[in-house]
Amino acid sequence: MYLEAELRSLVRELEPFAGRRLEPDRLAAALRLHEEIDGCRAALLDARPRLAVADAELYALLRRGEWLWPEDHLIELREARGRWPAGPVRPGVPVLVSGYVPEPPALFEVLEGAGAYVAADDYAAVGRRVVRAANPAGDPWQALLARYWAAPPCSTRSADHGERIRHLGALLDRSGARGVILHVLKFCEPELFDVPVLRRTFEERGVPVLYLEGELEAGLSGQVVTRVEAFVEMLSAGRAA
Amino acid sequence: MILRRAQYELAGRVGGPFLASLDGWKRSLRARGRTPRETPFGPPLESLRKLKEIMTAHYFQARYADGAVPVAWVTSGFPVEVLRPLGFHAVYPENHAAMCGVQRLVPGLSDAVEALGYSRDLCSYARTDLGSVVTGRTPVGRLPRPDLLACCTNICQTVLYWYRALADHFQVPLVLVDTPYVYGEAKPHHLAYVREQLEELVRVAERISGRRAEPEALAAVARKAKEGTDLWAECLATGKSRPAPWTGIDGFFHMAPIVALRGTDTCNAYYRMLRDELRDRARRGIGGLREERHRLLWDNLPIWFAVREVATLLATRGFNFVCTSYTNAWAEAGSRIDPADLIGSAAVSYTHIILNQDLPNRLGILRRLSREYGVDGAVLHSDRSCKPYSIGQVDLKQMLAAGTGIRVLLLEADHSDPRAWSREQAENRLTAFMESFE
Repeated sequence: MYLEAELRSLVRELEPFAGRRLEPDRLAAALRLHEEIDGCRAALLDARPRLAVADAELYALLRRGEWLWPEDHLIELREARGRWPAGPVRPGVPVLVSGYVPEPPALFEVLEGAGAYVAADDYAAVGRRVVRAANPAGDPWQALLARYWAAPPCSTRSADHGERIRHLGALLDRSGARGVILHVLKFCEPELFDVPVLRRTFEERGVPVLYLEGELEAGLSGQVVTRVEAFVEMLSAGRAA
Repeated sequence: MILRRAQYELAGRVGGPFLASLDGWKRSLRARGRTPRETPFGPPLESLRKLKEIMTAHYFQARYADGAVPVAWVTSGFPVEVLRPLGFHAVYPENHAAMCGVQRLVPGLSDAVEALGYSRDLCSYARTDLGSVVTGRTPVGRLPRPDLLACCTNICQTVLYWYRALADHFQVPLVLVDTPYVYGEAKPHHLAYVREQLEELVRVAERISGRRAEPEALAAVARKAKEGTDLWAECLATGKSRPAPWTGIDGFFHMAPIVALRGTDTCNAYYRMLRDELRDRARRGIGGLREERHRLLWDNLPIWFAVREVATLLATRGFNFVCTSYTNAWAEAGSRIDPADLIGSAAVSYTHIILNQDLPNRLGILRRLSREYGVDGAVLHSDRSCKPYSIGQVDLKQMLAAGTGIRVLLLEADHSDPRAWSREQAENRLTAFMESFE
């Protein structure tokens, strides 16, 4: 199996830098740790419509997992779950957001200011990294591979269009989102190539779609703010796209 | 089926060559009585007429391919040698998109798919091809419907997304040959992975074509592909002469057979003819330019819609592109092919394509070309559409200049979308670049 061989090759190259071997029990422990982290992240994402926390704040927490030590991030996640208990469904228009990365945070402030919130997340850097399947018992190398394959369908891993559409449809149904925001980065080809099929699919289902294209470094333009506000207004009024 | 096959054969053997002759006759008629324009270029290559004939025949025959023979749409870096013995007619959307680029058809075709939600930031070849598919507009009359889509990620990942869109549209099988990116040399498990995929390709292609891939037939095509690659390399190598007997711009057009007809007798016969002509010109001191004062290297794809414009601007001051990393890639792609083991050697060969290798390798190629062709400068085309080719060029520019002492210019454009091209800005930059040599 190519992927296993590639992972083992990577580990062989990393071991001299780390000054130690990756023993199977250490790998198994790391997998357990990440399984727990993903469990917390999934719980937070699933409870979003009932969490009394701003979208920008929740994203800041979830994205800290990209650079914090996993053990430290897990502590934060546990604390957050205690700090933000699930309450009644929050007021406003629920939307599903799909894209690569939830930047800039101002987007979520504009969204909330307009009366909407992110009820379902399909960002490649957030929701699509949360593996919900339990680690299989046995060989940790096989468990590592299984984790990779069990992640939600993602354009960057060339997921099948049908699989992505089914996943997004399930997210939409589960969250009660009334519209979809496709929030993509300029030049991000894996995401950009999926846009036409996603737009077509949602529009055929009568789900309004807002397509936003941005850059990591750039802030929100007045034009984007106006488009987001108009989109939320349209959803609030219950009109079709 | 029999009638369709007869049409297909006639189109390739009679119709195509006739059309090419007719076109040549019309051109010469138009040219008659016209005062020859002052040109900085040397006399045109005699082989050009043959090139037009075989490419016209290839595309004319393609119009009748579906229903007559199995049709595969393939990426430029795909191991087509595996498909030829099974009788596939191979269509190269990239080659077709380049033709659309030369004829400035890209904005219209791209608009059609931008309206469907495809971003203008996507590769212009992909937009052109998808635009041609949805509108039916093409400069070649008609492209045959594919029975198989075959893409190899050795040139970019874009082709995977692009071909998936084609597969959605045509509802035909897509075979992917995924080549791991190479740092240094490919590892054994990389090659085993590619080999497995090629073996699967054979099974799928056999099923679609209804024929068996006989080892002798595979070996014969492999021999032809290797010979074609070597002949193309010999054509390019004539550029080492002073003056170079042609221009790099000529090379961009004359590479069409090694891309689209690799592994065929037609391709090899053509390159024997071209090589002999180039060697003869080199012997007689006939240059691609009337006066070659400076020799340049070009990196990346050409700017198809402005290729003549850029070459002329430079040629008027005696600057000739005597080598290009792009045309050179086709002299290397098939060089590792071994007829005794087509599948195994294709795995090695097609994994080690320039765009599938790391920057030190790219730098090594640029340095070697600079040295062997004796260039004084280089133009690195930062191609908005071709990200894998363009990424790292800022570093390459500095390292190439530092390592060889030649002047290097980074020129921003797009290989086929003129909307990403500023003529005045490019002219200013190229003019300033040329002035720096004085």
